[in-house]
Formats: sequence, C-alpha cells, structure tokens
Amino acid sequence: MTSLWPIERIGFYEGQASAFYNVSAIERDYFEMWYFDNLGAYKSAAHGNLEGVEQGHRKMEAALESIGNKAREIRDISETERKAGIEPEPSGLWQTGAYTDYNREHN
Amino acid sequence: MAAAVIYRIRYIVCLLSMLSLAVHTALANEIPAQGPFTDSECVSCHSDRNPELIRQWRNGPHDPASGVGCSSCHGSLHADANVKARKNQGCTNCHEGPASHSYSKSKHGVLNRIEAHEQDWRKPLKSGNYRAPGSAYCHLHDGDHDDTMSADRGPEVRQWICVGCHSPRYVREQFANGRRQLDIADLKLTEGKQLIASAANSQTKELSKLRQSLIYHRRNVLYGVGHQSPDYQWWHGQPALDGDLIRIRDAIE
Ligand code: HEC
Ligand code: HEC
Ligand code: HEC
Ligand code: HEC
Repeated sequence: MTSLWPIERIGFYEGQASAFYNVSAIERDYFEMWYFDNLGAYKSAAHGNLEGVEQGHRKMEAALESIGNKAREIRDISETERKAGIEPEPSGLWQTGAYTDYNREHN
Repeated sequence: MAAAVIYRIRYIVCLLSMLSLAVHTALANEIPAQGPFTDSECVSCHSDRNPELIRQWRNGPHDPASGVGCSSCHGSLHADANVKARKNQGCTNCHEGPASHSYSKSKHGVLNRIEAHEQDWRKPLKSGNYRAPGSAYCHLHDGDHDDTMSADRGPEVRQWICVGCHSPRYVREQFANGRRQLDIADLKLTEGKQLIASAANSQTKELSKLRQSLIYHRRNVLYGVGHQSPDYQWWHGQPALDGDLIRIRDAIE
C-alpha cells in the first residue's frame, strides 16, 4: 500500500528536527531553561508540588547565570572584533552533515 | 467365577500400580526442601533437573561473570521463588537509570504498576496470563533464562511477544516506526562524531563530554523505542541529540 501511495511522515513521528534546532547554542540554553526549568516550576506550582517549584527555580537561577556569562563572552568577542575591524566570515559549519543534509529533504 | 476374580485382582493391581506411578511422579516434582540454598547448590541441583535452563543462564546477560546468581532474582528460598522473580521490583533493585525509568514511564509500566495488586503473579510469563508486560515478561519470557529481547535474536522474536497482546499490523507499524527513529538518531550520531573529528583539537574536555552526551542520548532513543516510551523517544532522545549537535558546532566554531 505504502509503495502505491507513499506517505511522507514528518517531524515528531520519525524524530526529526525539533523546535529550536535551527538556533545557536546560547538560544538553545535559553529554550531549555524556558521549556524544562520554567515550565517544570510552573506546573509544579499548579499541582502543589513544592519540591518541584524549588528545583525549577534552582535550575533557572543556574541557567540564568550561565547564559549571562556566555552573553558577556560573546559581546566581548564581538566588541574586540569590531575594534580590530574584523568581519566575521560565515562558514559552512552549520549547513552540512549526515543528518542536516537528510533533514533538508525530509522535514 | 474364577475368571471374574482374576479379572478383579488384575484390575486392582493395575489401579495400584497406576497410583504408585502417580505418587512417584508427584514426589519427583515436589520441591524437596525450602532452603535456604547457596547459589552453587541451586545451580548443581537444577543442572540435573533442567540443563537447558542452566545453559541459557550461562549464555545470557546474567551469566556467572555478571555476578548475578539464581538467588539475586529468586531469593534463597523455594517459597515464592517464581513470584519474586516475575515482579519488576526484583529487576529494578539492580537496574536503575534510563533502562528502567523509560519502562516505568511507558503505558505498559504504568499499567503494570497500578494493577500489580490485582495480578496473579503465580502464573507463568506467557501470553494470556498478564494484561501488560513487566520487565521479566519480555526479557525472561516463558522461563527463558537468556534475554528474550536480545538484539541478536532478530526482530521476529520481539514482534512475536507483542503479538501475544496486540494485532500484528499494529506491532509491525510500531517496529517500522522504531526503525526509522533509530535511523534518524544514527544520522545525528554520525554527524556529531564527524563534527568532533573535524575540530582543530578534538580532545578537549568539552568535546569529549559532548561525545559522551551523544552516545547517551542515542541510547535513550533506543530505550524509548524498545520500551514504547514517548518521553525517551522524544525529550530524552531526539531533541536532546539536536541540542548536542548545536553545542558541538558552537564549541568548535
Ligand atoms: C536439592 C535440589 C534443589 C536445590 C538445591 C534447589 N532446587 Fe529449586 N527446585 C527443585 C525441585 C525438585 C523443584 C520442583 C520441580 C521443578 O520445577 O523442577 C524446584 C523448583 C524450583 C522453582 C520453581 C518453583 C515453582 O513454583 O514452580 C524455582 C524458581 C527454583 N526451584 C529455584 C531455585 C533456587 C533459586 C534455588 C537456590 C536458592 C534452588 N531452586 C535450589 C530442586 C532444587
Ligand atoms: C534475572 C533473573 C533470574 C535469574 C538470575 C534466574 N532466574 Fe529463574 N526465573 C526467573 C523468572 C522471571 C522466572 C519466571 C519465568 C516464567 O514465569 O515464565 C524464572 C523461573 C525459574 C524456574 C521455573 C521454570 C519453569 O519453567 O517453571 C526455575 C526452576 C528457575 N527459574 C531456576 C533458576 C535457577 C536454578 C537459576 C540460577 C542458575 C535462576 N533461575 C536464575 C528469573 C531469574
Ligand atoms: C543482582 C542484580 C541484577 C538483577 C536482580 C537483575 N539484573 Fe539484569 N543485569 C545485571 C547485570 C550485572 C547485567 C550485566 C551488565 C549489564 O548489561 O548491565 C545485567 C544485564 C541485563 C540485561 C542485558 C542488558 C544489555 O544491555 O544487554 C537485561 C535485558 C537484564 N539484565 C534484564 C533484567 C531483568 C528483566 C531482571 C528481572 C527479572 C533483571 N535483569 C534482574 C544485574 C541484575
Ligand atoms: C501482556 C500484554 C502486552 C504485551 C506483551 C505488549 N503489550 Fe503493548 N499494551 C498492552 C496494553 C494492555 C496496553 C494499554 C492499552 C490501552 O489501554 O490503551 C498497551 C499499550 C501499548 C502502546 C501504547 C499505546 C498508546 O495508546 O499509548 C504501545 C505503543 C504498545 N503497547 C506497543 C507494544 C509493543 C511494541 C510490544 C512488544 C514489544 C507490546 N506492546 C507488548 C499490552 C501488551
């Protein structure tokens, strides 16, 4: 049947590109902070789970600090480059790979 | 008259011999003593009774080298030896982490847990006796002392176990989906490893941590697929691999 009528399955079903795949690492950190730690704390609050609220907030604080440090680092690099007149050159690094190539056609 | 007496005597003799045979058989199968026994006592006595069972145990994941003996699952007494071994608790005492967590979050795991008190655990681990499969139902199916779910037995054995409860078409579809999920996960693993290999210095602490993370999350997909556990196929699996790829690129850029 599927050979007569091919079904192209997308996304979740086969485990392809999830939300926040096409982003930089610092954005991904923020996504995980928002999705897991924040929603975890909020749902724990809604369900009266004090321990979950505390754990969520602990993780959010740690994530906030780490994201803050990384942001400073990135801004410093950018500032240094700007002063030195260096134009960042985009590389193909983010555009190829076994999964990334496959994903272009099958997502 | 004489013939009738002889007939009756023969009849009684026959009955008696049948009775003694029945008693003899019953005795042979009666559990000889309660124990406690040491593992080597279990092995030597059961080797005589059921060499196939012992052979399976020696060839399986719980072989002597693993340090898991008969009593690890059955306890050292005969009373309730089977009941103890069939329940999940016996396995999860040793198997913690993703292997058992993925199962416990699956529909099978939840059903098995909430209905544990209604289940008759004296029944052998065979189709029809259990509503939802526990760890031993699948991995030590029907008295198997090797691993019934072992990869080298091929998918047919695993599908056959599922078909004991689900329709063949449903099971085929689940397996096809599982295969595709693992293919995708393998593409991610390959991409990640190649990225790391292409780095100017692939031996940094950060990159070796990320390489471990790739392997760990690929295994989560396998647990998710094997245990029909959506959270492991998804959150702990596929998107976690996506996150690894992003962080690997960030680290080598
Ligand atoms: C002296 C011999 C002997 C020793 C030692 C022995 N068993 Fe048994 N066991 C038997 C016999 C006989 C039976 C009943 C017939 C059968 O199932 O083979 C039996 C039955 C069993 C059963 C099935 C029980 C049931 O309800 O059907 C299990 C499980 C078992 N033994 C495990 C063990 C373990 C574990 C040990 C060691 C802690 C052990 N045995 C030590 C002889 C022995
Ligand atoms: C990893 C756990 C585990 C280990 C180790 C283990 N068993 Fe079992 N055994 C089980 C389970 C689970 C069953 C129940 C199978 C069923 O109901 O179909 C069982 C069943 C049995 C039975 C009953 C088989 C039947 O067909 O009725 C015997 C006898 C037995 N085991 C003996 C042993 C002996 C002897 C050893 C050590 C060499 C051993 N087992 C090691 C888990 C284990
Ligand atoms: C006393 C501890 C112990 C108990 C109890 C135990 N196991 Fe194991 N199991 C081990 C060890 C050790 C290994 C070999 C190392 C490994 O693969 O983790 C193993 C391996 C396995 C494997 C193979 C894993 C692989 O990656 O190939 C499976 C499947 C398994 N056990 C299932 C079970 C089930 C089901 C039960 C309950 C009936 C059980 N185990 C009870 C310790 C235990
Ligand atoms: C002992 C019986 C039994 C066996 C064996 C069994 N299942 Fe199930 N399975 C169930 C039951 C009962 C449910 C829950 C059905 C319900 O109430 O929605 C279920 C649910 C599921 C679900 C979840 C469906 C949903 O709506 O979320 C999947 C997927 C599944 N089984 C796949 C499998 C696969 C694959 C195998 C073999 C590796 C298997 N099952 C073996 C009894 C079994």
